[in-house]
Amino acid sequence: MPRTPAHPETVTSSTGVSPLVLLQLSISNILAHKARNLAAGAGICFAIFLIILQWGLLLAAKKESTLLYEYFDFDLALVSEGYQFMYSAKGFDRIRLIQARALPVVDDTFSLSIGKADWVDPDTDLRSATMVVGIDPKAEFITDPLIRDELARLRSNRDLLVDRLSQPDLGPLERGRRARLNRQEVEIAGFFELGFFFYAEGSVLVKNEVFPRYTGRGARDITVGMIRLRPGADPQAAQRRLTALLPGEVVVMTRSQLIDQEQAYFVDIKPLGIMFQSGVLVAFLTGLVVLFQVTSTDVGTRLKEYATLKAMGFGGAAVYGTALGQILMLSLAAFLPAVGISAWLFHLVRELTHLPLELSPQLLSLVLALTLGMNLLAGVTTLSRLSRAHPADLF
Amino acid sequence: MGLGLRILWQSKLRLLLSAAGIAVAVMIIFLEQGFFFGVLDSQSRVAHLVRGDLVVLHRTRTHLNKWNTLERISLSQSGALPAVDAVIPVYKLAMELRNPDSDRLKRIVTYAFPPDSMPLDLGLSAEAVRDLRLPGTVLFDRRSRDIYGDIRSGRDLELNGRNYRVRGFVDLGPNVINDGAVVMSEGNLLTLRPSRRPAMGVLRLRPGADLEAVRESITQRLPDLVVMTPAELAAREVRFTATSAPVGIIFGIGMLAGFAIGIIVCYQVLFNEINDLVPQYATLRAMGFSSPQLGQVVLTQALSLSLAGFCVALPFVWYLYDGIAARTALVMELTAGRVLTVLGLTLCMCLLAGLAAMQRLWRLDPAELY
Repeated sequence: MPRTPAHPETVTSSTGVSPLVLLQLSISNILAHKARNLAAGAGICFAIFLIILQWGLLLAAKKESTLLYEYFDFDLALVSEGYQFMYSAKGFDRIRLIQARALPVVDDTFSLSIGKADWVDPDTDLRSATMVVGIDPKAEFITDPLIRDELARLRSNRDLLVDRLSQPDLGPLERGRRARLNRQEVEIAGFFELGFFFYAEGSVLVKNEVFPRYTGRGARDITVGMIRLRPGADPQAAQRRLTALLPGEVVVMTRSQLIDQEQAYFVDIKPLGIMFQSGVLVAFLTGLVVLFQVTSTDVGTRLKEYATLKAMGFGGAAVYGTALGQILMLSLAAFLPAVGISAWLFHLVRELTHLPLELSPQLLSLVLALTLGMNLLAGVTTLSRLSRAHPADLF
Repeated sequence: MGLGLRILWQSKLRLLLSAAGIAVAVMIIFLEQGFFFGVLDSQSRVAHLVRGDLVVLHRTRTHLNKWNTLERISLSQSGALPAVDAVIPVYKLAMELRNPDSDRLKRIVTYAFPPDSMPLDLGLSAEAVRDLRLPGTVLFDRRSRDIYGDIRSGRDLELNGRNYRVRGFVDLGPNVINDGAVVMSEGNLLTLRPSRRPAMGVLRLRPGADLEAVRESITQRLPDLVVMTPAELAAREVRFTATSAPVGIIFGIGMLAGFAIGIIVCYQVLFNEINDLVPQYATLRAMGFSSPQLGQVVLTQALSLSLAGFCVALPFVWYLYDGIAARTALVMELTAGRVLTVLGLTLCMCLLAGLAAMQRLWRLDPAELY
């Protein structure tokens, strides 16, 4: 005779079991097999850890690849046609930025130049590939408090700010220390923080007026033209008008378009991005398989106990509730140590590589949701055997 | 078929799931290991291609992504030792190549050396070596990432604003930093950049020369140079990348995490597999099987499961490595040593899990199981 699942209320009234009792049952069920649950919990814990680690690395790498843009306040950006990413971008004539100011909605503009130079530490003679960032000295465009503060220290032509997170080969980074950049003497006037290790060993920041002498680029050449609109202006409308106004050699992007396309380029085209991405895919695959495997074995081995509950007159909902409650509790218990291990490892990797790894609430809640979803899926699949079998068959 | 295998074979769905679980564990171990070694192997590849007994670098060129160069005079001095037969300069510099399809400038690494002495083993035919001598000729690294457009033999290529004719291909391969390479003769390079200094010198010794003595006297006379055998250079590169370069550290941690996960998954699968069959084992025991006999059955099961999982995983790993190598152009090599390492890890873990499960078996009273 097919069994119809009982409604939760009927279960409670007909058997006299409250959800609290079911919860208790779940807990004592977990405690009854400590070794087995420890093994299952460890499996779930490491599956969660793996997903957090790989995903965290990918997110951090994406964030790092466009971190520089986060330091500036802009609504629209001008880049050269065919722009892919900042470190290899072709420049364009700064006249385009001046033209853009003809539009009334444009409040102000700011130019960012990016180039490459060799840094030589005079004590060790070590030569390091360095990214040179040139900016206009307009503090109101700079949102990063450190650069804002240090900008005033750029007084003479050879002063520069150096990325505190550069590789150690650049030598001791102290204020007033001299080094050679593109064969010219420079002096460390202050600091900023970028840690842009994917492409260069270090980074320095100078004013745009001295940028050409360290990079050999033309004086009118800039890499990204940043545009701030008047308050209340619609960025999309302004983007359309600017695109119509300016010649095809420059492309107008909104802030989020610029950042999204650059992160996508890093992840899809650059080898490191591809490796991080495949790491995440495989971590998901493994993590989900492990979660499924653990949940399904865990529920599967208790099937007899659940069948007994059923034979005793508990309704379907009560049995399902106990079983799923149990596995969800196990997952939640495994989640905490997984987050703990991840936090420790993230800290370690941050120390070693300066990659901006963070356990953001979004990351954690997504991983938690995935875990619980996988538990439910595996639990329900395994429990469906219950409804097909007669309790008597199970012995 | 032994008893252990027959027990496994009895529930085929369960066998499939367990083998799949182990296969996934094996795959993640291989993948993370592949990333780590892919970064290291690509980085140290040039060192393996050196055709000579010793290499000299400037002491400040602490790894091969550094641009520090050698004084030409110290290179000649090192070649003046009686035991040294020849010293060959190798130049390395970054140039801008114009992608002929998109017209965009892309950074590329240029290697240059005297073609007659071929300090690097680039898989060139005699004909290609002859072509390399011609003025205005470059050979393109066929393993470069495909950001440089359609480069064909016989076509012209713009490098740093000058045109060169591509007359063939070499096998070099990019790494995490560099996307591609071209090779030209020393003469061609010096025409373009007359004051350029070599990045590396390759020394060939006379037959019977004492390598250590040569190394000793160069180190003593020319303190600015580091002298290494090609194998030592490769080892130094691997060591630097694994311990000091951020990329090496990240993928090193990834590999360790992969090992940990893989091991835990294997353990998990086997522990459950055996744990769930406890009634069967208890029955065997009640029938008079001794503990060692029972242990043998359990371990047979553990070993065959791990082997099955490993074999299921291997073709996928092959496919995965191929795909990643194709997309990243990094060296993704499945050497026998690495395959055996993973196999060893898998087997060890499955054995341990089997032993742990057996502990439980021995404690049980057969009567309790009914």
